Amino acid sequence: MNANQVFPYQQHKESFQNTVGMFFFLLLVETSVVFLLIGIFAKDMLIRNGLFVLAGALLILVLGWMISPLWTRHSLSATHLHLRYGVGLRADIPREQLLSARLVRERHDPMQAIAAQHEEKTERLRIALSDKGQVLLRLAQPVLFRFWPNGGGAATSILLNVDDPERFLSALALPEEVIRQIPTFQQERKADSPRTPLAFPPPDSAPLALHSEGLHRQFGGFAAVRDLSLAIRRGEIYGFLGANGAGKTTTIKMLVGLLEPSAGRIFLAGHDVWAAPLAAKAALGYVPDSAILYERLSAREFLAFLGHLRGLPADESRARAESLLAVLDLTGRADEPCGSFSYGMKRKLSLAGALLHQPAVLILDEPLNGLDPRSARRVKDLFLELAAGGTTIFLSTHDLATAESVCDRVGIMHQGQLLAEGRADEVRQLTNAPDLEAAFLALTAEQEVAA
Amino acid sequence: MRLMQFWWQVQWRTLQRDSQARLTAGVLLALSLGMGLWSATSLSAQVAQWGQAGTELLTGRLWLLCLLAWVSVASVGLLGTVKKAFGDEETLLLHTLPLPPAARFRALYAWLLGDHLCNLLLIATLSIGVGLGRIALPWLFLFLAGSALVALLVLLGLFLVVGALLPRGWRGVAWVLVGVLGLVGGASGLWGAGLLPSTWPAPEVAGAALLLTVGLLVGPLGSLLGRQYETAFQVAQGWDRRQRVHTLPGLDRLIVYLSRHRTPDSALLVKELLQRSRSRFHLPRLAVLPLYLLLFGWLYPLAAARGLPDSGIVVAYTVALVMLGGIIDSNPSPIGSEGNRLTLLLVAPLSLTDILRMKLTSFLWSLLALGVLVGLLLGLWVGLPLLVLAQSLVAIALMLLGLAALFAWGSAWDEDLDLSVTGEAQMFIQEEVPVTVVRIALIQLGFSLLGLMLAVVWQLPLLLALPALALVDGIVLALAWHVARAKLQWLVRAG
Repeated sequence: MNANQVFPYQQHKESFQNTVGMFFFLLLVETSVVFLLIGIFAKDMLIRNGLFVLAGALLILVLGWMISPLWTRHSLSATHLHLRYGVGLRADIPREQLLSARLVRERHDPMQAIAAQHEEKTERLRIALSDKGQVLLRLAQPVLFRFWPNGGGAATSILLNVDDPERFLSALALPEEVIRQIPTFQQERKADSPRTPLAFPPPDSAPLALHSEGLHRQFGGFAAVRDLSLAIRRGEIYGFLGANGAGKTTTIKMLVGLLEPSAGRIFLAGHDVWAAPLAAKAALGYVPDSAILYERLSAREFLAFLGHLRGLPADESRARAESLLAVLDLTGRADEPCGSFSYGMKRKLSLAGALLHQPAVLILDEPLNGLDPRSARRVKDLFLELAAGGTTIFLSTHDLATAESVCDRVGIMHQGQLLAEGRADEVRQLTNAPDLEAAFLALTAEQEVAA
Repeated sequence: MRLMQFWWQVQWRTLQRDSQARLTAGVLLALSLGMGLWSATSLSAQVAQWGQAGTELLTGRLWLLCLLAWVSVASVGLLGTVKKAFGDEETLLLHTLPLPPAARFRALYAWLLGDHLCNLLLIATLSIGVGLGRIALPWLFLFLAGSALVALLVLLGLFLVVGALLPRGWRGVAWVLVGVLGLVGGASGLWGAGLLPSTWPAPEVAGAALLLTVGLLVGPLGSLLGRQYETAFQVAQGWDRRQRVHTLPGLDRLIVYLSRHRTPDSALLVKELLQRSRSRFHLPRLAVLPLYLLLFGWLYPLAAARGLPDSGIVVAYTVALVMLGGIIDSNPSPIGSEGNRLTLLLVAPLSLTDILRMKLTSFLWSLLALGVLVGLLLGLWVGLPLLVLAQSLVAIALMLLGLAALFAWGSAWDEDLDLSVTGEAQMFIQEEVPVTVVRIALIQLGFSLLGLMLAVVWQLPLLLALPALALVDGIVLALAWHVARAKLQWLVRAG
């Protein structure tokens, strides 16, 4: 145990490399301009050469600093965790300061990866190159980090990447009770795989519109979704609930054909999403968790583009777009560029885009995020109208009150598995909880203890 | 004055506590010192020359120098001041505090002189101070006092334009015109009547007068200017800030025509036309196109003197121009620039084959339109026979097809489905700038391909060159297609 165990990070560096490439290009252009100016204005040979050397050295120094995170090598000794991130951060944390650790996958801004970052709000030290292989370490008490050039600050958690996060977790050898709270994928699989959800059967009056069998998605050693089977009928509103990182967005990406499952099959309106993708996608309307728009187009032009893309007749596309703009209260701003819209307006426009071709199945990832109460009410009413007309709605949300009031059935995801499924009152009965929020908390807490 | 003192304290503490601010200030200071000292050496040589020609000429030239420097101060001062004075968060906060109007005006003035113009004043001060040597002091005094007054006049002018003239619409513009014409007319009249002094005043006297005026305007008249500022601020708060989309004249007809064809290809083409034509750099790019065409007149004799055939010169110049202007400078990554917006195509009932085909055709059409237009103009310019001109245009089209396939499909390797493209700056970088490793690699490959194609055009007779170019296109299209398809499949598989 005396020798240090080294944990480098050599994988998934593409986005970082692209960012560095961008800066390198800019630096190269700027240095060329500086060289040109020196060549033009510095007449004295000695001064000119001196300035050339100075500018070249500065370029090499800055470039070296920028690419240094590529050689990230954290290590673990008997007494300390040694963090090494680029040339800016060198920190040694006593192992008794480490409280817990878990695998995470957090959104990542490659611009921030160039140097260590301190997030003041969350008291977090961020030394991650990508969103893959991330480990979140929690510290027993705030530790002061100093790094160049951002200064630093006190942190109670550290987000970092390692190539082999599971080896890193086991090497940390945290106290046993802590380890139990952060089970690795293999441990969980052995303990309880496959887990049968506490489910009530779906109403069987209507044909299945969205159906998955044994859906599974693995990212390296981490299973984001495990053995998920769903059966949602025509005209049903299904609430897909779960905490952050429960596997909701991964499931949705698989359902809409943006992510290939490691195992399992998905049927949309009777068509296999991966075997007959065009037929399945023709029946699909999708609203992602962030509004995806072409910001230089106006709202009206954006909807016209989507209608055109799906081959809707021009008149029909125009009429539906106008109707949706009116229903979602966007008519007054329909000729303004989408980029000037507020977050909530962008979300509404994204929803209008998904509804334009009157899809049989609507898959929505947090569609009510950022909407004002009046808009949220309108959208919920719209969901009820659509479902009454036969549209199937798969609604991922954190808002349990909305799920309880709007959804016919809900499914609760936790750590990639469906914990429970049924009508809101049925799920409440499972834990004798007064409302869905209490049921959700009780069910997910039970699962933590069982693990 | 306490507010100005407080503002300076805030700046100082920011420098003490924020390492990034210190670094930025340090770099700016070093740059200013460098530029100031460099311009001082040039100025000192110039001053020595003027001095030899007599004191009168030296004084006149130094006055002219100060006037030019004040014009720069006014121009730089105006840039950014509109946002700071009427839309900045700090300013909005300042207007909610219980402060007299004069204090707000002085705070804005302190920002303009102490922050916004600081580097320019430092460079000019160094340049005049070092460049003039022993006679520097009175001229430095004149320059700084004049700059302080010019900054004040910039603010006053801004307040009057925003608060009094703009609300009056065309009548306001008419008043400005009448005012300017009156000033010019009055000055000419005085000049003609010999009432203007024939010699420049001494710099120390003029500097003192300017400083006195500044003192009056900031001190006793500060409330008056503050009220003007408040009026202008209120007017600016009432501005309709809603943006409208604008379509270039003529483009709307093309869009209506394309929209009749309800295919995904025409949908993407319409979207690209609208999206690209609304880039802030689109019009400047169009504006410099005639300059590039004129440059051909200079390059053509040089190339012809080397024995290159006219058709080869026209083809080479046209394709190089389209590659630089239509690809590298404006759209170097047709697929990669989509970022997470590619999701809109991936969830539509389109196969990967459809998506790749659509991206190529929508990219190729604009390049072909530009290439054929430029090729035609240049071909007519050098007087190519009709048949050779037609063959040249076919060669241009074939070369652009290969390059378009390389950039459009090769850029699939630049695609990141998690990359959100929001905001004007990010849209510009993501859509129009060759800044990623893949884009730089594509540019290098593009130049290699261009070199190969030009070698074919220059070495073979045009009639033989066309099938050879078609063969090169076939190879490029097949390779780029497989590479792009593999990458898109990987994106969907890996997530």
